[in-house]
Amino acid sequence: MARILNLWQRALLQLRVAGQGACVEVGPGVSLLGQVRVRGIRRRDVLRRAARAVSLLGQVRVRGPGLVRIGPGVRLDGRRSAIELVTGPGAELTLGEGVVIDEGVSIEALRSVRIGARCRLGAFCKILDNDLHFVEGEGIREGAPGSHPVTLEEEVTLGPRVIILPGAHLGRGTRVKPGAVFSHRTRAGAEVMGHPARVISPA
Amino acid sequence: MIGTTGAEWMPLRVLRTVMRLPGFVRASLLFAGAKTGWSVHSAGPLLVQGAAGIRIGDEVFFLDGPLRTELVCRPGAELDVGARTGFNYGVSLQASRSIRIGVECAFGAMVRIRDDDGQRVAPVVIGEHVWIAHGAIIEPGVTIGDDAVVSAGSVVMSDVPARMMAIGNPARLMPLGLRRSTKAPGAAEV
Repeated sequence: MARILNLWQRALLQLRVAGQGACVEVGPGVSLLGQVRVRGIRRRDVLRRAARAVSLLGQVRVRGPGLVRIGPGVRLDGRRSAIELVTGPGAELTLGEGVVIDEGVSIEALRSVRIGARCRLGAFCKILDNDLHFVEGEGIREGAPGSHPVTLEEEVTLGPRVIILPGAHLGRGTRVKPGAVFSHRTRAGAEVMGHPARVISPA
Repeated sequence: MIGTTGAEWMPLRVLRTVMRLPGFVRASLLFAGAKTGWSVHSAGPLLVQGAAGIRIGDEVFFLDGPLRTELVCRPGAELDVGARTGFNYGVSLQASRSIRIGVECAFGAMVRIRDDDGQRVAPVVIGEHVWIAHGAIIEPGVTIGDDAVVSAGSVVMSDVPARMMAIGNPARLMPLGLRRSTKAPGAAEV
């Protein structure tokens, strides 16, 4: 029964994506299971290949006019709480090969967010490349400040509830402990903890 | 919260307003029994409990997202939201006695505010133009001054004066503007 439902939803998804001319680029080996909402996407093309090995489980919401690139073997598991991928105009959100994303993760790219191959993102992580509000004065609702691209190199692990702020650049193999809030640059193999976050190793 | 800037073609603006109509209707149904101002908008589902004690100001809006916002007001409590305040998704406001929020505040996603932690009940007061960023938690008895900012993921246990930024867990205070003036984010290794 669940399988039939999944197949039906998969068909629905493809219809929705195709119908809106969405700019979601999915790598080879992708299967789309569960409910994937694609909203407000205006730009022409690209659902390149509806392939097999990326698994989108549960609810994954893709919003905004930017480009979302999902690499081969990516696993988005939104079964318990929806995953949100938001892009601004002209923005690019790239999930590398074999990225694993747990439930409730929200990634907002107004310019560029790159997640390297084999990264693991824990539950309810948030990644932003723009603060969305000005800190000073009464600018709370007057547009957004400038974006600072966020990069996670290969094999970065984020614990649950980690928040990655604009401008962060996590080196290869960085491990971020649960609940950390980070906006800086780390070397390969670093370990990051706390809020405000500090690098605990290599010392 | 991706805002549009610049002048818009008039029919487009009208169309946009018409498209927003279901949100106004949804909000008025959800807040039935509460005191609401005009033009309250909800883009998605909300959980509203104890509407009798809830007061929502003019032009308050709730964004849609993966998690729904909840407003819980226990009997005899008051939950007061000022005009033109905006809420991202998954915000949780739980009032056992009193939570008051000023005008033109901005709430990030998954912010949690409650005035009862199981041991003590103390009212929470949030001033005007306050920005509370993604995932922050406000503990009972906290007063946040006008124009203050609570940074993402912070846990605020003590009062925040006007024009200060609360950052960290537990939250510490720093004057506004310090972070931006020192260096661009991500500029150096720490």
